[in-house]
Amino acid sequence: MLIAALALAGALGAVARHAVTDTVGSAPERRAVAVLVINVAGSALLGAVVGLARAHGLGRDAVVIVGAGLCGGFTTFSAYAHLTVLLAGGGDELRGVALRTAVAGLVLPPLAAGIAFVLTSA
Amino acid sequence: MRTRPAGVAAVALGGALGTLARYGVTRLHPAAPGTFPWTTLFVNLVGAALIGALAGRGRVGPATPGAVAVSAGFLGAFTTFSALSVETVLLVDAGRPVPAIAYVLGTVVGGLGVCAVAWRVAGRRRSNPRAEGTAC
Repeated sequence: MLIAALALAGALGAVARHAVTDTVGSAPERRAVAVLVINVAGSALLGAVVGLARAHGLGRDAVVIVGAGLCGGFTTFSAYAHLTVLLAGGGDELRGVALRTAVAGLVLPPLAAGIAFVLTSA
Repeated sequence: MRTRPAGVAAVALGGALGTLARYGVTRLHPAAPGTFPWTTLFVNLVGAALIGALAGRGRVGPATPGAVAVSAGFLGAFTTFSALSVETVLLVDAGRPVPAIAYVLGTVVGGLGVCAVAWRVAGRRRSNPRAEGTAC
């Protein structure tokens, strides 16, 4: 049962991610920003889930389904790497986008997770 | 470019399998909270290398439901940024800021590196980023 719920949550997360990136169009510089927003939002949600588990007794199954399933399926490292390498191979303007979204993508998701963790585990 | 229903089904199926594969790997090699997350690092590096190899073969993007299932679906869900973020926070919370920074930097530098190398080894030149499919 847990495995079925985990698979369903992962599918939902992946479809939601694909829907968000589809909405911004196919330009890679716009998709890189969409992936950044997705990774910040999913990291904040997982920070809250882990905070609630630590301090307020959120159960292990909920952590697996929402955390490993929904947040894990929604956020992505492969698209972050793919888009960064893709943009880095473009012209000067796209290289600038690659650098900015790569650095923001390295700093902002852990920061969002940290804030959510501190707020929910208090 | 809006995804057709077949594309959504492909992302859902790939996403479910990618999530189960990641969960399976983390169950085989669990890392206690606050310890160095080797398992997630491994998962993300493998996923970054595979997406680079697929891109080098021209198999990334919305061309076919199969390509979408593997790139946006399976690899998108197999890899994770939320676990990377929270594991970093938990390392800091455990009083280990240096491993935390090494973990984030190692994942990003290593992931971009293996993606770029796999891309080049697998083949196709990257001439026009706007003509490439995307993997999300």
